[in-house]
Amino acid sequence: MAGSALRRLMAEYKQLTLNPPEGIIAGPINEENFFEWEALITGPEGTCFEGGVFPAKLIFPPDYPLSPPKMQFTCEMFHPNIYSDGRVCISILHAPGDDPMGYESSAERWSPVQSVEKILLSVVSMLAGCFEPIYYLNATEPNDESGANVDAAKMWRENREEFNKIAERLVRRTLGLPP
Amino acid sequence: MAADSDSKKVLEYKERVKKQAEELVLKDFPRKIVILDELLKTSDFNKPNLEDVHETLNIPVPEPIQLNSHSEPVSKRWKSEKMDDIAGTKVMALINGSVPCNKNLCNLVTKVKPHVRQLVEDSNVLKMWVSFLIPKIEDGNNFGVSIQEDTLAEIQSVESEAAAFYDQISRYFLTRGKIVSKVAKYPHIEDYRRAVEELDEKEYLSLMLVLCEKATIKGSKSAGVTLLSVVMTAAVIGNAFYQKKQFYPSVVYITKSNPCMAVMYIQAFVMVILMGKLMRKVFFGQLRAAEFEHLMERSWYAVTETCLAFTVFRDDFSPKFVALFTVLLFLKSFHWLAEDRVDFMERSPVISWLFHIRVIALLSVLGYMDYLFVGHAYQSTVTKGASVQLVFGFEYAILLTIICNIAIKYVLHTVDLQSDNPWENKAVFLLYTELAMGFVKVVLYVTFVAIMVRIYTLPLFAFRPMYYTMRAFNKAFNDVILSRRAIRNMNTLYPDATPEELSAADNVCIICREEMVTASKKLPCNHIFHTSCLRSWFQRQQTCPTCRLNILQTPPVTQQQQQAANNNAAPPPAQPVAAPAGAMPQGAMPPNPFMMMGNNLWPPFQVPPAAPQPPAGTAAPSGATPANGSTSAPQAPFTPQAGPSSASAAGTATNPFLCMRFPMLPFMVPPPLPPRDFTGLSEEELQNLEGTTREAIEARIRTMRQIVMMLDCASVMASQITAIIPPSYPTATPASQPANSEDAGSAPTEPQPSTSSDAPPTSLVNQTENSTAAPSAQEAEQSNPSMPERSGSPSTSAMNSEQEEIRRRRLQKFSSQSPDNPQADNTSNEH
Repeated sequence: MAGSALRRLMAEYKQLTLNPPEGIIAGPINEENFFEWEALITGPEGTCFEGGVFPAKLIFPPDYPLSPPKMQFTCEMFHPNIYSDGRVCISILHAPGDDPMGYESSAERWSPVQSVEKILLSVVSMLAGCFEPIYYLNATEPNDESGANVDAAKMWRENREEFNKIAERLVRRTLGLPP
Repeated sequence: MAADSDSKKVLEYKERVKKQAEELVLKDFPRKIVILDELLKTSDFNKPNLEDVHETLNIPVPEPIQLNSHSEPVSKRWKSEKMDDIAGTKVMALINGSVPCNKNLCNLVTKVKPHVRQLVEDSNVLKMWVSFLIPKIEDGNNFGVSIQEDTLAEIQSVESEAAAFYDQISRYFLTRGKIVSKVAKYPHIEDYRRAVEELDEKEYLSLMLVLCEKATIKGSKSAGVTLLSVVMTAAVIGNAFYQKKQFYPSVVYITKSNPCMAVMYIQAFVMVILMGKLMRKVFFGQLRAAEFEHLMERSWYAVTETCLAFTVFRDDFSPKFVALFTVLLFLKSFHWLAEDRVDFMERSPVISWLFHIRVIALLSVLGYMDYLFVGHAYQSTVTKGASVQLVFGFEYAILLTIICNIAIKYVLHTVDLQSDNPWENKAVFLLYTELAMGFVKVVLYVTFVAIMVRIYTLPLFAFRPMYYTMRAFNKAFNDVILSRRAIRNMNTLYPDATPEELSAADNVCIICREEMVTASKKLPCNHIFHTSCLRSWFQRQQTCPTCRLNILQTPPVTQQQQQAANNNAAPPPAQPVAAPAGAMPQGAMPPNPFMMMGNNLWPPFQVPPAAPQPPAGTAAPSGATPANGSTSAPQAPFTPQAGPSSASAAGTATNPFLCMRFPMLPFMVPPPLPPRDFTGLSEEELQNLEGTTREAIEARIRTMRQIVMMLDCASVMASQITAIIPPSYPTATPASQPANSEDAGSAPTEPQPSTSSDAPPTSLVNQTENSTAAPSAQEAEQSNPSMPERSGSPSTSAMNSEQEEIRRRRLQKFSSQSPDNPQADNTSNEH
């Protein structure tokens, strides 16, 4: 019997292939390595990210699902909860006890109940902007001076038009259209 | 438009560079290799005897002027006095004209230089080419990019080397000039002449190296280095043998000459690398990217530590020492790779036979080597006393433990792979292996440091690994403790899920997403998981994966208690709930609704306003608040139990602890008590309480719920009091409690009809079931029934008799439990 992490990932892959949620495609980059996935997320309708197709990479730890995977957009993103290098900063991707500042309650942290599908759906809703930009998430990565994108957060708050414009440009870029 | 045409031009330029570079790589480089190879073969570079490179210095030894003869003492000022009348710079005269450069070397320099210049240019083009290509391959995968980056770095280093070569040429001429000038100044001193010759020799060697290096860079790098080192070794040995004709003198010659030894060292290094490659091919095949990364990372640490170790043993520094350290590093890297490989077993869908054969062979070879080295170190320490061998002995002993660990892991994984069902105990075995190995390692390191401190000095190089080992051991230890606790909890507290329960719900374990057939456990919150999945999760977190109920915080519901609760709970919901059940979910009746409740309302429980509100004068408490208060109240006495749980659990528990503990003190909050009579109620409300309409029943239920809430508060306060008052004054508890309740009771409560009721009414019966902590609860409860007794409807009387029954049972239970109860509360609160 192969490792439980592998079996669970295979099960999730099967599930995602059989019943794909709308606007999300995900699967292992290489069938020999189930611990690295690639996902394509379409920008939610009615938002500034509408129409875009955003590629992302998911790296699973060996003890998945006990520990959360890491998610990183491989295209350029501009969002308050996405680091400038593409890493996604949402609470369900943080293991309980990760956050020394105690900003996030453990109820919204990672648990084995979560799945790739849930992560991707949360990311979609994050893109949809139902979440207030969360500045304090920077606290989870103290050694990264840029933090989750502070510029984007500021612009989101103060200059929504400009933010939307940038987002639209990103959408065009992901589609290979001229800006 | 301008931008457009510019971008077009840039594109064209890019294309041109690409084409150029491709041509360079495909055609020019192979041609260059051939040319350089031919150049190397020419007589200029193939001087068997380095003495041929020498150039005679035409500086004759002049007739000595006897300045220091005793007969004619010459004052020092003589020189300056004589020369004062000559104008211009003073120049040393060389009788035979200017001293020429070393013609051979000049020749070589002029030959090599164009190649070097070409190299700089080529590498520049290549650099541009690779950087242009990077985004193109990026969308494939990251590996390609990293290779490109490596290549880029490689090219850059080539470029800088070429530049350094230019430096070297000028430096050579400078140095030579200086020495020649010394020769001119002190023509008698033979050593200076010798120095010039040596310098020429050195430059010749380095020029040859530069050329070879160029050949290497352009060909396959590693193959080139290998070939070069072999050629050089052959040349050096051949040269020595040619000169000395005999074995022994040539060996002496080689070991005495530093350049020769350098060549030999390079050769040895190359051999080690080749050996490593061979072993890698044999035992691992292709390395995965992650493995390679790990290896690189770890070897840097290992190299730094080795350098630190050199400082301690600088007295013993010798080629043998260096060789031993190289071997150690070499073996270490294979241990790391083996570890990675075996860990990979769990993650790989298919494990071939070749893999097993390789791993077994590798493990046995490594284990045997470690054993041999440990034995050797031991022998040498015993016979010759403490030396560097001590370090090696310990290092290999540590490696031996690593091998043991890997082997055990491998066996466990293999056994697991053979069976079709997941092997539950594997995790436990792995954990204990980790613990045992960690312990052995820690002991080894501590002994090692102790011995080193006694004999030599503080072994700085051992600290980093020692720290990591201790941390790992500590982690393993904690894991074992947590795991044991989780297992104990699971085995004793939580019942196995029955087949009915499994079939009732969708029987997929949410942790591993597989069907649960056997070996599943039900948590107090009614969530069902595989035993093995739960156990591995409980090692991390002591919460329910689905609802995050902290299993260590929940009261240890013993089987007996639970049984009792279930027995009590079973009948009541039947009648009183059935009557108003119109809107209530009936089918999904959880077997242990109290736990279900506490858990459903867990998040609001963490919110500060969870403290019960004083009901006096509350105009319209919404349906949520009483429910909130009532559920939080029975939880309150348990929150302080968060103390003994792990750090993470404590973190989540701090909030409820803080906000519950202080507001709940009886001196601060007046306890809510039921109305003594119904004077505070309007006629309409009283009518609402009676009757058989649904509103009437709902109103009654609400009133009952308020009563329940008050009861719970009373029990909480009682437990708080028992916690605050030291156990030596047990009499204080009953005394202070009723007094308090009397005070607060004077304020009549208004049970206000509210619009929503979101908690199932069954909970209230069970709530009363579980709030058995204090005698005051009984007293308060006894004062309650006045209200239900007044209502004459059949359903309430049924409820009433039900309550009578419940009270009777509770009194029984209380009388059997009360002696230990305050104590239990006390201990739980102390944490």
